[in-house]
Amino acid sequence: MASLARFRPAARRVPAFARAIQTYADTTQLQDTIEDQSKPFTVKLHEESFRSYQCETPSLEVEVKKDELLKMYKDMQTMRRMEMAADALYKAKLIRGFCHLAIGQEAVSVGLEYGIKPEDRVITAYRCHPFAVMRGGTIKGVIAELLGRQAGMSHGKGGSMHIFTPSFFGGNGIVGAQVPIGAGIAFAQKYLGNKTATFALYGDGASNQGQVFEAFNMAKLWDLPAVFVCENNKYGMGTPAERSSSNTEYFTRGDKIPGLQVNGMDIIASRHAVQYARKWVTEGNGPLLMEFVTYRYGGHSMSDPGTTYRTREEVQRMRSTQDPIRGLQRYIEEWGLATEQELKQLDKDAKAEVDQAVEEAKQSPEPLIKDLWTDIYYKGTEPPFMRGREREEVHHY
Amino acid sequence: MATVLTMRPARQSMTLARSLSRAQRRALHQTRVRYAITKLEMPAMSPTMTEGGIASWKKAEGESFSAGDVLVEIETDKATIDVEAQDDGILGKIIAPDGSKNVQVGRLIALLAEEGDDISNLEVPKEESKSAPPQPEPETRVTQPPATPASQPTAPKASHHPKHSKHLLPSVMRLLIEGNVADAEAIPGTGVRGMLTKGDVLAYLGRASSPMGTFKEAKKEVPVPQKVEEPKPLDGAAIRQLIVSGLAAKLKPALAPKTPETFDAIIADYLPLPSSPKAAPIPMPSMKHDSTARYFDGLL
Repeated sequence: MASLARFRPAARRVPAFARAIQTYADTTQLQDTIEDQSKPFTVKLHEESFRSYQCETPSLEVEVKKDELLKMYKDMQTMRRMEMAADALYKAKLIRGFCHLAIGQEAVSVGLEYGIKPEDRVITAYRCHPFAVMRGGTIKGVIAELLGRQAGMSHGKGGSMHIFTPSFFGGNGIVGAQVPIGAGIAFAQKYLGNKTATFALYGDGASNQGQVFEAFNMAKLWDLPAVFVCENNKYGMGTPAERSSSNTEYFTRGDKIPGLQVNGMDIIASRHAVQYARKWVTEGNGPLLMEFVTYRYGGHSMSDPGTTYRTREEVQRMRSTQDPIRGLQRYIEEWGLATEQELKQLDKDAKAEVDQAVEEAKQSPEPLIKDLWTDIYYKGTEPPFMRGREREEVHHY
Repeated sequence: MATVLTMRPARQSMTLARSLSRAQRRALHQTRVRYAITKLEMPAMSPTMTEGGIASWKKAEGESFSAGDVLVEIETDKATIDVEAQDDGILGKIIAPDGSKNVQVGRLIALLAEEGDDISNLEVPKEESKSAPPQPEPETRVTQPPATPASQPTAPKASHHPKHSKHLLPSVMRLLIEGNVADAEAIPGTGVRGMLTKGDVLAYLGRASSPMGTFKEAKKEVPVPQKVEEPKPLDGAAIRQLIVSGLAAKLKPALAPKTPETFDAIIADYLPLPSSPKAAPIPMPSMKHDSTARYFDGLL
């Protein structure tokens, strides 16, 4: 069986004239010179940034603003630093248990946030730390939650699979279970008459789960404003996508649901596609499937070195040629929006912000024993008593 | 320079020294600015790892690396694992050299610096005591006695909930609630390890005569010791007697088999033994508490 793991087809079986998406982060071109940096300007995405299924691709002309690009750069760098800090804390044995990091996939989370409105809903699986912060959380809250302290967003009782904000529904542990819940949230939005979009994210490894297709069916049947987003980082734990899925074009798996494949390493393309998707579902066209082609540098989780199923050279190559933060840095410098020093200063600010949040989170105390009994039931609806961990441990409310 | 300064009055010399040093700072060539030094500590490559060894350093002091490059190979009890760098930088100083053994997780093994830093005089920082996660104040940490969590004096609630120091069985709980028993502790418990039984509650409520009700334990029959005669050891005469009687029996003509007289005699062998009225009564399985205790031990 182990030999099968190392068996990879010599050449990818791509038909001769099929278009393939490119995943470089620095292929967007400036249309004309920028006269006034305070006004929005137009850039043109690479023609192979999108692929569509049963719908039109978004236009390749995108309007961007200087301060928005700088904010996106700072956010991506902050998210990268936060994940690296979590990595270091895990290696120092302060974070225990599960820790799934999204280093390399920052363009998806930050691009999503900049393409949607605050009242839109997002639900994802356990690679959720950047989403949690972007959707209204704090870095200190996320780090403290991973450390298991009271300052955490779930008071330290949940960990990375239980982080919520009013518009972010977690943080879910079971693979693929968040997709039908996301369809339900979209149903609630439609039922309440809200003109919002719901984004239900899952990975390429979860795309073959049965309940995902059940959710697709219901969403299409009732025209729910749901966008199903597949974050295809090419590996489901240790299994490459070609070894797990017969159809690796995840954006076509919606059957009657139109789909859109996006270059998930270029944040301008990502954000533009998210805006397109939001417009699609809020105008009543039913659900939409999106696939972000992205890459994670680390392993599946902190227990996985990430080099047993792929070569280190591949990871280094992706890091050096397709890193989303470097790509945005190239755009900003090439288009004359900021100098290298200013961007380095943003890097330092991001690092300082994360370091300070980590220090504050470390100072927070561990949860109290009495908090074992709180937050299980809605206040006022508790049963008379609750059994604890041992026979003699009974708590009376 | 110094001698000139010491001859002047103290206050003026101070200002002169300060202004001179400022001028020195301005005039002298600036040494390269050193950014923050990052400490590389021994990482825990698995959650159960407590110490490891350095197999080999892949980068030399002063060599630069980029994020994702392998810096060092760590030997754990399970395997040799590569440690990758998180950021770009240069290796400033190696503190734990190749072949170090028993390096605790969290101990400093190297100092990393950023590109373009001056690493000529990196000092090993003194070992700082690791700040353990702060313990909450003692008064806020309530230690629950594991044996009696239910014996807290609570205000009477609207919903009557009986409490007992021992576990309450569901049937017992139901009777307590139905019978509106205010204090379950007043009822003596005759169950295993002092638990309340349904019979206890019924007897308390007056619905039963006793905790065991009308159940009567069967009297155990004490077996009468029968007189057993000790067999006398055989002497010579007795042995001879035995031999002769045995021989005589052999010499007697074999008895003709008797034909059975009645039908019942024929089938008598095949019928079950008639129940004799004097059969000893089979003792009932005793319902003593010790056997019940043995049955329930470890069950609840």
